[in-house]
Amino acid sequence: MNITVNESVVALAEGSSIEKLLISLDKPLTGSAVAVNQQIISRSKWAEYKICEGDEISLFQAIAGG
Amino acid sequence: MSFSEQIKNYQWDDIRLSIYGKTAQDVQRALSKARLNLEDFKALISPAAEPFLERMAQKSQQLTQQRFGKTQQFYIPLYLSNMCSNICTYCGFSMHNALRRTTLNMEQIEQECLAIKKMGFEHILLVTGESERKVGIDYFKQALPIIKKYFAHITIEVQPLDQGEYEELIDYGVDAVLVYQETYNPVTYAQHHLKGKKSDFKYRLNTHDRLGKAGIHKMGLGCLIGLEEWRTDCFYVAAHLSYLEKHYWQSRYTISCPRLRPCEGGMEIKSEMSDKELVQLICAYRLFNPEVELSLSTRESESFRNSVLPLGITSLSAGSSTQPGGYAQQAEKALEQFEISDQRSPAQVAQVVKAQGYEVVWKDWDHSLTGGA
Amino acid sequence: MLVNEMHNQDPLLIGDKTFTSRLFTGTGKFSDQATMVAALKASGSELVTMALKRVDMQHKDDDILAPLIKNGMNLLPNTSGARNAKEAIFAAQLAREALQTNWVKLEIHPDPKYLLPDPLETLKAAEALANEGFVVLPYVHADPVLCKHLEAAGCAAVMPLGAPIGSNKGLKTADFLEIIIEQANIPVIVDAGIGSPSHAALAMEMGADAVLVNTAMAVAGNPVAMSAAFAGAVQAGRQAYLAGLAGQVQHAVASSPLTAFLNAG
Repeated sequence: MNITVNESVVALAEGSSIEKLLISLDKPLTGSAVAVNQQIISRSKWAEYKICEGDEISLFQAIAGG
Repeated sequence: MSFSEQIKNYQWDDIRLSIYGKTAQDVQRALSKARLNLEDFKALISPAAEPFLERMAQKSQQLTQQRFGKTQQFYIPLYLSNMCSNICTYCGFSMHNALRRTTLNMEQIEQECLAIKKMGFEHILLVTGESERKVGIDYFKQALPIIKKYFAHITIEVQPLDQGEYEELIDYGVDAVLVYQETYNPVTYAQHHLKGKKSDFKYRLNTHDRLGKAGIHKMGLGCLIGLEEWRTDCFYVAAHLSYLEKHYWQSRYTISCPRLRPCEGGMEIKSEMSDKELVQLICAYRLFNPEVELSLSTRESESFRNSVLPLGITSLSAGSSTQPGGYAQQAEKALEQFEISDQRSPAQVAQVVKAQGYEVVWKDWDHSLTGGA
Repeated sequence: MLVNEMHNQDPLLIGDKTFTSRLFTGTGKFSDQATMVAALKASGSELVTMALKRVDMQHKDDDILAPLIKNGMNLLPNTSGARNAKEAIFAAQLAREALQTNWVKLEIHPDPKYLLPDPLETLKAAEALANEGFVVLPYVHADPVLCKHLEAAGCAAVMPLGAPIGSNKGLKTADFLEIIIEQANIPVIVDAGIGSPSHAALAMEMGADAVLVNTAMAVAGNPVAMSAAFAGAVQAGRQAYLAGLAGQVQHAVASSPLTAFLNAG
């Protein structure tokens, strides 16, 4: 299926979890936050939450700043 | 949070020792700072500050003029009633004193207002004894609409009330409330307040918190100087003021420094305050808090008031009567709450004020500002 | 008494945490991560701010968190980038998820040129976040009335600015900071505009509870040495405040004596 992550199109296996997505993108699990279609998904649900076709995912990470 | 909680941080004897331990150096430091704290206030009211009095007075005058201009606000007290259900050993209205008790009815109130208006006043202070049953919230709610017709600013000095009652009275036109703790020492307080609701130290102590929460525009505090060691008691006034300003930052504050005076009942004064010490106290309050209003009543003599008014005072009463009514007609006197020392008419006091280069402010407020009915 | 001893007897309590260092720091503008970590260590800071941004899909971003956590620093995510309350609230919730902390520095600047904080949106967001259980530290202009409103809204501290972010101009708002410090019942952390250790010391002498410094440390010639200098300045300023400053001597203009009447008769 195709989804967008931070406005880039990404191909992903059907029924993948958020956790699986992050691993496949080689993004760290700690220090990250995920929103699916503007809704923040709590980290405790990352293993179970199933991503659907066309979902718009926003992936956030802590960076240096004042 | 309430002041009865905050006051636990201050131990009476520790404070007293601390004040008497202040040195000339502490005073110098306080005098050279722009923002003073309570430790500085202690130094300024300590014996060590006496040699610095002239300097304190100069600075006090300068700060007062900067904040208030060269003005003095005139007000007049109208005693509505001398009924009282408390026994306070020092007061002429004390329940056990035999005097003719009277409460003004609405017609009499109107007559008094008319007479007072002729003298030029716009700011009035309504005073009663503390008699919840007979002179309580219902009486005030009746009287205020009448009085509000005549005066631009109404202050009341009556028994401490509940927050809800204050909220109501604010709607009825009360702009300011004065409540004096008399003394912040609970043991001494108990010795002087023998009977009645006033014997509840804590309820009285938390009155300003209730006023702040009710949203009162201005509140007044102070102690009755002479009941206790005055320096320590006045420290508590300053501490109380600090606390209130931090928690009820939208209210204004005024302090009065009534010195115990002879009255019917004739009690002995524990700690007599000299004229010099009163000047020191007034200047200390001003240096500690440049924004607080400082009031001087007709308890003090004519000559003293003349000399002290440019040193930090911002409001004065004149032509006062401290018995119920007393303006509409020179009727037989019931008995005064305390002897008045300055018996001059408002016009005479105004003249002296002007001669000192100050403008008399009769009106500084308007009920249209508060959106009240 | 040794400086460190005094330090530990003068802890700063904010929300649910206690701090021995009153120098808070930011992570931005450093030339590289290693320098950043070394400088922050030299500063002794126990509270460090960072931003949250959308991950770059093409490149791997540095993981800045691991070294900070390893050095025992508490994390304070900011909502930098948010232009209104709604965006700030969203950013705060994201940060809570990402960093597993309910502490948030509320920063809302719709003006990208001067990065001045929006008072109305900040108050709105502060109320909402405080109600959701966040420990809110709002960054605002040195407006005493606004700070009282933020206090009433449930903020754990207020962070009034000394001068615009990155300007290094020092305490342009000193008079107002003094009023805020006088009136506050919660800690006051002077943030933004502190360009030199002397600015930081001055803020502490005035009675501020802490300061936050970023740019001045990050773009110094030697960031690590500068960070240590800031640490010293904050300690010195705090010690001076506790010791009781002498104040400037102002001689009153002598006119006719006001108290002579007390001696007469």
